[in-house]
Amino acid sequence: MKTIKIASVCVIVMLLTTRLWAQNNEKQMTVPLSSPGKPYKLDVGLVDGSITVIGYEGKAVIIEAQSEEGKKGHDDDRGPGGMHRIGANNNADINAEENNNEINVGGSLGRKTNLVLKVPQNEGSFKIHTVNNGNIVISNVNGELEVSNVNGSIKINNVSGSVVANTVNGPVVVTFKSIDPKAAMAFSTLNGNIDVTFPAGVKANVKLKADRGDIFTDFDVVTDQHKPIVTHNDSKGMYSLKVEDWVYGKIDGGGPEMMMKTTFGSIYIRKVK
Amino acid sequence: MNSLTDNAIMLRVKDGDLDKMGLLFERYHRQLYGFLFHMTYHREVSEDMVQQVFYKMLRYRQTFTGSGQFIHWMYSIARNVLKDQGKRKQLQMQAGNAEQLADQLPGGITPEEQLEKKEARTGLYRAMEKLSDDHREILTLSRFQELKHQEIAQILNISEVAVKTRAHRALRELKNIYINAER
Amino acid sequence: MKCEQYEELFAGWINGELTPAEREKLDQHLIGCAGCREELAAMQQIWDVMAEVKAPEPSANVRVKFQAMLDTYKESVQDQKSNWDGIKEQLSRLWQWQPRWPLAYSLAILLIGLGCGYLFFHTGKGAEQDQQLKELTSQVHELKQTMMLALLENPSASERIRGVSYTSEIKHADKEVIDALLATLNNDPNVNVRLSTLDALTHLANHQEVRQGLIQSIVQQDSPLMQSAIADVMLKLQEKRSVKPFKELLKQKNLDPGVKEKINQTITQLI
Repeated sequence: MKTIKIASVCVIVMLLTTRLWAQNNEKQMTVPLSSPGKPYKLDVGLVDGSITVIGYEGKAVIIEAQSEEGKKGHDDDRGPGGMHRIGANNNADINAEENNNEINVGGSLGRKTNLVLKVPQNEGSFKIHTVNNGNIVISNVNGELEVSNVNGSIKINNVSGSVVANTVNGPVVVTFKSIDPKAAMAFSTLNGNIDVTFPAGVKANVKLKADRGDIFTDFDVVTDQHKPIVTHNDSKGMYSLKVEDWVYGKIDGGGPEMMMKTTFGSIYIRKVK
Repeated sequence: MNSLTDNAIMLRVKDGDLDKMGLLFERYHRQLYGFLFHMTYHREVSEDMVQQVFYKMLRYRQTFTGSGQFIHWMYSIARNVLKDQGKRKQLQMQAGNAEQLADQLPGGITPEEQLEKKEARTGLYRAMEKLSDDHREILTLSRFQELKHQEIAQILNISEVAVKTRAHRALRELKNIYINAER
Repeated sequence: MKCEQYEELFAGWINGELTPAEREKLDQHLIGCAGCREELAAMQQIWDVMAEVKAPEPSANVRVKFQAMLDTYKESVQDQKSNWDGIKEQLSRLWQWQPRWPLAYSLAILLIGLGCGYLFFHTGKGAEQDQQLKELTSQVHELKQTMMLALLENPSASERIRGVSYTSEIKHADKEVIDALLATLNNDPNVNVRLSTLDALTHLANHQEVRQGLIQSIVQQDSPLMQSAIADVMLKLQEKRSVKPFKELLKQKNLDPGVKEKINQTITQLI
């Protein structure tokens, strides 16, 4: 019985929200959590468009969407014989589903949609992914982040927890407020820099590779093998390590694995100042 | 309960309600079998693969995010199973398989019709067997699975334009093989 | 000869997916082009014949086998999750039965019996202790492996990467570990997990099946990051057998230009 109940609530939420879409030009909707204040999961996936996720002082997830009209556009709201459109097909832009503190947000195909989500600051796990024409920006959240993009950048600012992020064309820039000391992390891109700022006390086993670029850090990285050749000093007092293969090293005695890889960019590992 | 979407059901499976996989099996095993059958032309092998696909969906259920369609996910797993199988033992299509398969399908009413249909089928099976995997795959998805080009693009992870071009080439090739064989 | 530009519409025409505008465009062309008319008619004919060769129905076995698989899988999941819980549950169930004295009595006897057996087997003989120590070590090793295999199925990418990083602690990677890593390399939805798996497997390249698996994986990777990383690995391993799949990869139209250049370089360096 319980599952049926949850399902029906879900359906009602969905009905309500689609109604909201249809009526409201601003396109905002609020998705309440089944157990507010408890850890939650958020999965947002787009094919075309940007995603911004911001932590705020609230208990529900607020989704704002702006979609760029399809190529043809809806020039006319009138149908045959003076009828007018009430349920336009452009209300299917975004669908959001909440089930047991798990929220799934998805966009429809063939239409660029930009999403801004405000999310509670308590612990959560986030999967945020898009493909084309958009950047991903995340700030002030707490928990586990899995972020992927293809043609666009990833910027993550002031977060606590762990991050696994990858894109193909664009930089990956991450600044941590604090980190989960047990979690493994990874950052990768093909065309772009990787720039990660950690708090001072971080411990990690790092695994780094910048094929065509350099690796810069102001942490003391003790490398295990493949002694890197120190080539030159950077103006800001960072030094560069350059080797052909992966650089394996330890920060502060070692810890969970942190992998960073870029093919055509450089890697920056910064200590928070 | 049957009105639940595929995604909703799969998300429940992911949550641990493994029995719900039975519903998805009922909904899709025929379609999946059809796809695998055209990719292998081997009944037992296809049945085995259906099993493997459902097993993988159970085992890797945590990787289902619900942001895409369930069937796209199912096809991508099925394609991986095919690839694995192809690697393990190069699946050779046996000679004579075409006639045998053509015999197994319901025929026409009169003996002449039956013979005619059987010939057409045998010829087509032979031609289909000669197609490259890529081409057979795209024709199977669009003709037998009746999927839209846009959906096929998602499943194959290529652009819709590429699907259209490939579908056209595949059909042209099939036509050429079929016609040349008749002569 | 502008026919090629219309050919893209053929598939849509046959499939019934053209927009009215596209249809109009194609129809216009067809009026004036006998070649395309013929071509399209022949394709339509083939398309219609294809209706005749729909796949047969699967046999009833499929359903039976599926149900059996589902049941076995459910059991195995239960086993994994709650070996200890199961014992606790059984004990507490026994506890509830306590009023039935005969059972409690036999339970007590059983416990005493077990205790005696334990004392009996655990006294003396150093060799036996050695044996036990070995077993214990192998159990710990097995535990690590189990943990790694379990982590690889975790929904969190961070946990899966952690699982992959355990590979370096497993001394003798057996077939199960290698298979699991290769499956992750080819199927994991997260690029970063695949990248770390690739690195982990590179360290196991002395195993023949790992090399095989890596070579076979080349054409399966659709992420440019993975394609370029695997090119590096093949160069490092000086694996000439990878040239063929790389050439295969170069045929893909949507290949990233940077990756293309890299693979071309790799091939020239390998040959």
